[in-house]
Amino acid sequence: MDLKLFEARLKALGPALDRWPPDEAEAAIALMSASEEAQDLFATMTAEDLGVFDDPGGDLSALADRIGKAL
Amino acid sequence: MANSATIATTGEFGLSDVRSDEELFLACRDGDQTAFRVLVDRHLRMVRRLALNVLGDVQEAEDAAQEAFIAAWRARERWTPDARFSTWLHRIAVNKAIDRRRVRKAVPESQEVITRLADAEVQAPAQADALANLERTETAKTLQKALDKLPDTQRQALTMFYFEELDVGRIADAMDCSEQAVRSLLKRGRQTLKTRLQKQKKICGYGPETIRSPAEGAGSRA
Repeated sequence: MDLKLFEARLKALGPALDRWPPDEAEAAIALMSASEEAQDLFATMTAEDLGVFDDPGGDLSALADRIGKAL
Repeated sequence: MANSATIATTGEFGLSDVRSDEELFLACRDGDQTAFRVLVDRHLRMVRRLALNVLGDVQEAEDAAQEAFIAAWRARERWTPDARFSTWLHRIAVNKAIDRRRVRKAVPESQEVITRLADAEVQAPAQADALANLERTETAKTLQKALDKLPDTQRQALTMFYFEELDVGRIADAMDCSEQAVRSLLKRGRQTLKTRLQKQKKICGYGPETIRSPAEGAGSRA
């Protein structure tokens, strides 16, 4: 998978890789492992996704506290 | 360098600071944990979502998010303000999530074995059925014997991960080694346990498949 195809698949399928066909998800992981540009694109699409849809994560204060204690 | 905040920015948990991400992170170099807490406040939801998009599992995503922030904190001395903080942090998060995904893919079968065994031991007292209890007691004894025979470092890593429920980062701190070393210890320990328990099953006629389904989400922190 190259960056152009990765971008096309991100736009078509969204950034949640568990919704991708498994072989394409693995190809995307391989690309992101090697390319900061791919990582940045993935982050951009994730940010857009967060802006469009409500995040189902709920209250993250416990996780924030956990991080603070682990420093 | 991005000018990402010129006015007071209130984060998810109500923390407010007029400084940009980059200014806050520079303050972290002097050990300012409050500044870092503001950064966590601003970026946690995004970092968690990045990890969730890679991993597809909430618990693993939260562990990966924690690892990403801790890695950022530890790397604060090396960070240079010519790079945008959020871009740098997001790359760390993606890489942490990819690392976890690879570990999970590398050891699915052996992880399932130890997860089921660990859950069986933990849940055993709550089971009413006498036969089921007997099976669990025998399995717990088998597991303990197999654990006792492991090299010290592997046993320590498995015990902390499965029974004390520490994440990889905490185990690395406790054992004074890298997270990668902990993952390697967990992988080798699980593989050794699996091999030994399969041999035990052939001899005694009981083994991992006598154990019922695991609790949701158990064993998903490596």
